[in-house]
Amino acid sequence: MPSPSNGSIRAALLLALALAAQGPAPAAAADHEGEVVLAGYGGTIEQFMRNDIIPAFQKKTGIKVTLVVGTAFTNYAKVVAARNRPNIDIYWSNELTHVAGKQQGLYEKLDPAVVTHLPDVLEVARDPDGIGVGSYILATGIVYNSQALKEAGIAAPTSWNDLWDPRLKGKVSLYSFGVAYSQDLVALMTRLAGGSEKDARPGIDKIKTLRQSGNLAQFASSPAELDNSLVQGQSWMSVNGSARAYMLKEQGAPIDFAYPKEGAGYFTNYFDVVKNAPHPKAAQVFVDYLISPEAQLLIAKGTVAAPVNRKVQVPEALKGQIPSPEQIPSMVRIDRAEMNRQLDQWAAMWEREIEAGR
Amino acid sequence: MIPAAARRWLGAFTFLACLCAVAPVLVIVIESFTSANYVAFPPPGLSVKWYLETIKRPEFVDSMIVSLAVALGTSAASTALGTLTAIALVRHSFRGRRMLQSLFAMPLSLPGLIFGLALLQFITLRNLPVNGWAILVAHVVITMPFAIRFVSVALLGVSPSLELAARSLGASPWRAFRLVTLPLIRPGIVASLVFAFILSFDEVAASLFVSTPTAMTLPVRIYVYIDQNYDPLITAISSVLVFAAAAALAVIEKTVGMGRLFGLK
Amino acid sequence: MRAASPAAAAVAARIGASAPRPGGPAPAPAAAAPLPRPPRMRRPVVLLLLLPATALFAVFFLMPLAVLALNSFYDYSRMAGIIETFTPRHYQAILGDLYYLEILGRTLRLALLSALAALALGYPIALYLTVAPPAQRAWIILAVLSPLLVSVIVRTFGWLIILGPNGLVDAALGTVGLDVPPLLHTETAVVIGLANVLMPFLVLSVATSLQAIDPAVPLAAATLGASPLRVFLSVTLPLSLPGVVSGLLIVFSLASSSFVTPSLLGGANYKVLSTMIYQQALVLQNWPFAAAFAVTLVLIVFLVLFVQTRAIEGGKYKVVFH
Repeated sequence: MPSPSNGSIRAALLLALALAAQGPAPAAAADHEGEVVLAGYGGTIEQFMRNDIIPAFQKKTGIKVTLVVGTAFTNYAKVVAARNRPNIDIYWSNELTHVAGKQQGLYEKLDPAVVTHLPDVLEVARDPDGIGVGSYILATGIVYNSQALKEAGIAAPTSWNDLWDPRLKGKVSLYSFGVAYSQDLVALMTRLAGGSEKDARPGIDKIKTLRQSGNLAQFASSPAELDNSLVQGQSWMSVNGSARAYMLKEQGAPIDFAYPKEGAGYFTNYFDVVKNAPHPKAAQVFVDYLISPEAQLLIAKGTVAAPVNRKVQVPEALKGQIPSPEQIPSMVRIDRAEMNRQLDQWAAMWEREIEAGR
Repeated sequence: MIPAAARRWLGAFTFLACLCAVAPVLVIVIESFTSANYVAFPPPGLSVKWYLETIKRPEFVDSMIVSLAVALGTSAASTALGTLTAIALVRHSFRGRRMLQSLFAMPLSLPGLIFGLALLQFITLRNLPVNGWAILVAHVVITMPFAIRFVSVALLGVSPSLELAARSLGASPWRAFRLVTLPLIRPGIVASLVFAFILSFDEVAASLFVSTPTAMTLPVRIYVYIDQNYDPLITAISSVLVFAAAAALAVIEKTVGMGRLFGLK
Repeated sequence: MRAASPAAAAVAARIGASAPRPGGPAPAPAAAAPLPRPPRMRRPVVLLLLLPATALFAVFFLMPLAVLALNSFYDYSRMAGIIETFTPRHYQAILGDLYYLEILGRTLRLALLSALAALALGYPIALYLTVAPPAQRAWIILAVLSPLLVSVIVRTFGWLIILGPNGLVDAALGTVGLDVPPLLHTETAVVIGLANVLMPFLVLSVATSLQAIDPAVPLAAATLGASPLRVFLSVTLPLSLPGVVSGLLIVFSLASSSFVTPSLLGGANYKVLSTMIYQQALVLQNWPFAAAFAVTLVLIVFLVLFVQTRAIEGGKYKVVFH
């Protein structure tokens, strides 16, 4: 770490250089590498990143952003594969890869001196060890085909137990274990049965009854597959993230989302700075921007999820679709560290007992 | 040498089989004209708005160009290398030939996903840069087994004594090969070029890991898109490819003739 | 190898005099004269021919494969990650656990069924291609290739729409009055999906072989009194064997490593080795275990391929392959 005097001299020099070159005046510390690589998601997320957030950030700080587009898992595999010579600075992780990577020492702590918006971030979205920060908040709950339910005369779901409604025989689908929301469901069902993540047996057994009753007949291995199943009416009810459900609803599909009264699951994706990244300082500056109110507003609108920065003014239209500040504290916070520790066992139990049983 | 009656049955069977083959593609093309904002089949109404949307997405157009470039390069390299290898494997018996043949077929059975990961690991381990060449190399490795196979099959149908005869009449080995054998194995080479191109264009699993921000192939882009959004945009993009291929085939048919290209008389 | 007939020698003479002549292969009756072997090319030339491909292969395939194999013997724990100590426990798990053995068997069975389905559908098409009018040929080739033009994910979603409950097949059968359970999430659906996309390899492989058959040969057989069926079974079919075998092997290998199609069309119950690899490698980040699966798959298919070169290509129909 450069000593404070070195840092300020360097900052002064860089500032002078910047002014001389008539470049944009950097907002925070001018001490950065000039570029940053973010590994993020595709689809609408890539769209608003490319069209709105990145240009605004580049204009403000002069830092050039390279966006690597992938999925949470493929990007994570890249981060792990290249851990001795990382080429990604910021990895946009999901709950699982955030805690798994933290466990294996893949990420860097956030520097509060640079990431000045951290105090404005909701407590739930902050990492207890200061490694990474939440990016947007959504709920794990029940997604359903409102038209199909209406035609079948079934009321909209209000509780987790509505999945077990006998009228839904063969009409319930779930993700296979590879998608986070089913992993969360195991934890949620375990808690519902009075247990904890230390032993997922109660949750597994509960979901097994869903299978044995004949309700649970389909598993989807990807979000698109589940979307397809619900929209085509092949299944009527499932467990999914709120963002995805409301996105479909906005597109005009007869899909809706319900927060179960026992508690929806809390879910967030994290911005993680990769250890030994090629542009560590620029990475911190970018993370700071990404949790700033202006960026958070764009992210919330684009992902149909709640911002993590409490200073964001959420537009009226969005309010019904995202967890409200009142709802967020009552959402179930799953013990991710414990879940990570036992993930292999959970996967094995899910595969051999829930998916296998017919 | 097929009697007329059998020919008719074969034709009918072929028609039905082809119908089954295009069924999923037809569904996609029909869906691409949907007026809805989500994927519902059959479409509630028709519209070209998803094609207009495709034009508005430069990243998809860029990926199409990247895929095209990679596919062309892969096709050429794979076929060239495959032809050389096929000649050696078919025309010459040496110790370990069978082993080598089976070895060259190995990439077919290695899931692209794990090959991509292993290749990425290997590249970063050796401190090689992960750039556009990585995709090309990965695709060539993946498509080479096909090149070797198709050219081998063609070579097996050509008697080596033809080349021998030409040589005995004074032609140099290269000349004999170029003027006698090469034209005769053209169907195999064409098949290899076409398939290597299509396979490279279609490859997703390995490419997921060796793609770079500037060199992202189309299937990879479709994959990451669909991870976040499920809407008819990708059906429109896929349909564009189908139309482009149909147009290309129409041009080939008018100029060279599809059948003749593949060596069918 | 077939003997050169006088006609072939005449052709070769003209070519030796520098006029290029593309076209069909020279006539060569499958006669009884001992087959002359061409002079063995000098070793250096063979090596030179093989060098570029082998070099590329060695560096960019065999080495990553070696990295994989190495990884497959490393230990792994969720907390510590990859531990670089030697352990055979992944292989022990795969070969000792009935759950995984079942998946292995299912993978091979699927590959075999897909290959046979592709053959059943593709051989007649290839046969027809040799006699179809040129205009039809273009359409047939486009139709057969079209599944490959669409990305695997998109195409499989097309099948989801067709085969799913409330899908097209369901609706069609419904109008006829048949109440058949949906084909989706069954092995049949996966075989259909795989045969659909892998068929072109077989069709073109077989077609290449078929068109190389000198028409004089089946003609001679017919002249000697054989019925069309006999001609087909005794002459055409055996002579097309290289293309058939090549096609089958390609389809088998590709089907064994396919992931998207079995996962989407087979459902969660229908796990194949690729599904395990995806889960272990990407979801659980247990690379050693994933590597062990991959190495097992590659070795088994390699064995299958190697055995067939001895059994089929070295067996009864040896003469066709050399």
